[in-house]
Amino acid sequence: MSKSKLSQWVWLFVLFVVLLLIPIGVSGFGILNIINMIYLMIIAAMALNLIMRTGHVNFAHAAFLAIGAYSSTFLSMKVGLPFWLCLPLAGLTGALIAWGLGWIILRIKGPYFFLVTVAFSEVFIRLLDWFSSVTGGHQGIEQIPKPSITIPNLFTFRFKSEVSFYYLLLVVMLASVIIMYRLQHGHWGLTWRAVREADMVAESAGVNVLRYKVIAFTTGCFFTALSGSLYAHYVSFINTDTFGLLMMFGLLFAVVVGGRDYFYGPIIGIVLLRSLSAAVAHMAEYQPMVYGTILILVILFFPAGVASLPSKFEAMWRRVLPIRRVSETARG
Amino acid sequence: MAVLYAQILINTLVLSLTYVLIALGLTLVLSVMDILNFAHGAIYMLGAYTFYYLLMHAGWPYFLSAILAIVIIGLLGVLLEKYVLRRIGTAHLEALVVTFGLAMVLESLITVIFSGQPLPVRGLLSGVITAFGVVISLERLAIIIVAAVLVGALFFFVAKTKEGRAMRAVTQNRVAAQLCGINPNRISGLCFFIACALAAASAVLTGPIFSISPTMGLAPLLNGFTAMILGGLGSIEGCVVGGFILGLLISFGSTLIDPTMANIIAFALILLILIFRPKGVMGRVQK
Amino acid sequence: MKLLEVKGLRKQFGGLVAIDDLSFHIEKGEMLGMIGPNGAGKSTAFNLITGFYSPTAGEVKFKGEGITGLNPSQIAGRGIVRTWQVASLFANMSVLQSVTIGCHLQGRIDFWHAIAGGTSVRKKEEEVRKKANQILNLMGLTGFKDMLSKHLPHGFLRRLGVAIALGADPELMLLDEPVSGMNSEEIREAMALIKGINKEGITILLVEHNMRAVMSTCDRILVLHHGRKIAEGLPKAIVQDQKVIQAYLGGAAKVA
Repeated sequence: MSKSKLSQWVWLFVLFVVLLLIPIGVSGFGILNIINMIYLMIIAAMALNLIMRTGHVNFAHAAFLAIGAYSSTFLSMKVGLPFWLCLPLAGLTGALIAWGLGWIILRIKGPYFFLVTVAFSEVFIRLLDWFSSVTGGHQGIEQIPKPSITIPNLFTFRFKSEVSFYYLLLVVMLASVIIMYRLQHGHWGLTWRAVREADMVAESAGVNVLRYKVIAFTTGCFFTALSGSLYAHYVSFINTDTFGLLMMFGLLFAVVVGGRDYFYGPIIGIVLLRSLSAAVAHMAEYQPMVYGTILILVILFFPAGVASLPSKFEAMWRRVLPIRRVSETARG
Repeated sequence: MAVLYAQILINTLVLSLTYVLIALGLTLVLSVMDILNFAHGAIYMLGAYTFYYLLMHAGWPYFLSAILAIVIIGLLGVLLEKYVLRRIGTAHLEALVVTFGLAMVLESLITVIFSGQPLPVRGLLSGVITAFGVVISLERLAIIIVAAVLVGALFFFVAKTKEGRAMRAVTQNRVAAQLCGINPNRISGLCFFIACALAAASAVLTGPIFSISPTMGLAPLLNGFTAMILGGLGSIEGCVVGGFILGLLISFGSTLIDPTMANIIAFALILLILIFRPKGVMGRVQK
Repeated sequence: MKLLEVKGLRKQFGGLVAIDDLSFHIEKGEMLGMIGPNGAGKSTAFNLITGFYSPTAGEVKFKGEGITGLNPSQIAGRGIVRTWQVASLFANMSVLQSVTIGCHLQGRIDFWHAIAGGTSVRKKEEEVRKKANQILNLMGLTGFKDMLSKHLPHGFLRRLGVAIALGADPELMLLDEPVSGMNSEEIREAMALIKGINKEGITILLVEHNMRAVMSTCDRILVLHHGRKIAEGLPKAIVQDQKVIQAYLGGAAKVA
């Protein structure tokens, strides 16, 4: 293995160990639940970014969180399936709906696609309310079962504590990120980018643009539904307000402010978002205002997002250095 | 039965005209500035609250409050255009996110100041007139008349006045308009002023009928977009047509079936039109 | 052998007839130039053949099989590619990445394999990388390999467009005004490049305004005017064709 590759793997290993040890490191600070939510939201935000890579801003994203949450709840409470089945099935539900919807709506261009997804999410929320006998409407559904591992006659391990959820969420989050990484950094990621840059040129080179868009959309919605299912079984309570406008806005915020052209952008965005919301938790009504203002400022002044700052600093630094050198020689 | 239908028709007129006013604002902004303004609903809401504040808190006379609310919102629009939207140009993603972010900020601002509870607005006219057994409230009649006048005024403005012609020039070719001595930025500012003023006017007119709340803007926004798309993007005549078709569908749908159904109809409409009769909306060259 | 056959092609946009009763063919290996004054319908014909428009009437056959109404990616799969006006290339992607996209048809990797990885995936990626570099070499773009397309000097952008098209291993290449905006030196280079590609066995349909470029390199010429074919034949004959001259000069001039 080449030296730089080896050092890459070393760093990853170190990171992995750090992640494993976090619950010990932060115990007593009471922030483990914030970190858990961060992991959960990272999945949804990365998924949104994946969809946006093909040039479509998906406002229905929060709806797919709801789809995942409600289907998983239904499967576990009404059908009695264990969490470990509900999770992938919820993801699949999201993927199937996305597949069907995608073939229709992904033919529509940029801003109008956004409009369609806004309309869809509005209608979706109304439908959730309408079928409140099933969804529990505003009352919501309580006591959604937590995951458990049962080896008959030996033991049953129930995921009850924040620490146990930490590891569960860490695993799912890492698996999702790794899968998305592999996709984004190979043939698929490149083709998706090309589709966003110039879809007609890509099409004339043989790319079946619609199919690539639908697959991106479906994949993104799969992970989002997954994340919704995780949420339901973690918080154990969902209602029709949980996955509304504010959550959608938060996800969009994370992707845009974090840096949508960077793979790790959404991660930065979510960390920022959660930290902010923890900071202004006592002023809940001010939250949308704060996020909104930051979002607008970022778009106006740092459109590439926070993730672009390091390279910007580097560029600035490089410009400064030669000047210093010249002034030194002038004196000497 | 005929009376019921007539009643629904009156509601339709009122509803349609409010959609038309909003759709007109959206179309103007789309045509002149090439932006889908997702903050439009929030601006409408802001107009309602400004009017509410002037009328109910400051206790100012009805007409003064109304006119002032409209002007204030219009001026706010000018500021927004100059300091926020102009920086974005026509970068679509940025425009989407910014206008959406703006909507969130405004909604949150109003919730903080006024609380999230729906608030009633005092009406000016009370009483009804009866014609052919149909009861029409004077309030609604006034809305119909004023809205119709506003729409007519806008048509006149665009078609006959110098500024209106300048606006049309900019929608066709921004650069060429510049070469003719028109300042596209000034026109954008004017356009946004009008759009916001129209939204505020619509809010002022309907405030007394529907109570106001911070989230009141989303439905009109979606309906405005639907009306605009129904009637054909970029066409102000289309707004009127689209507004009426939508108004008919929704008021009949709401009364005879269900309000939720009405929303679903709107969504399905947008979808169908955008897919099958896009008029230049689809990404690829028309097939 | 007739590689491409166009029969009775008609395209109407509402009340406007852009192309009417257009019929022609291209022989395998030849270089056909399509010329005509502005608005003659050249781009419409272009878009019709490549699947970006679907015809109101008529048909297009490639290698004897009908391709009318197929979408552009399917048409690329059959062996027909096109180039684009400069502005619409992959601005924020590097030159190498752009050509890699051009090689899409060969480089497609199954979704699940892409996630799983493995030697077959790596092998394919290596193949595509080699092929893309070969094309860059052929087009003289190797030095710009990692440069973003939007930073590429203007003259090289056309080459990039051709390079992307070559990635699909086309049998027929349609070039959309490849030399517009170039000076005579650049034109000579570009046309030599195109002729070189033609000599490699790729049939070429060239749409262009620049008469001299077309006359000196094409085997045959096709002239469109008001959506109809008004002349077809060898360059020498076209230059003297009355109808052609009238079309370009508005009927005022006469050739002695």
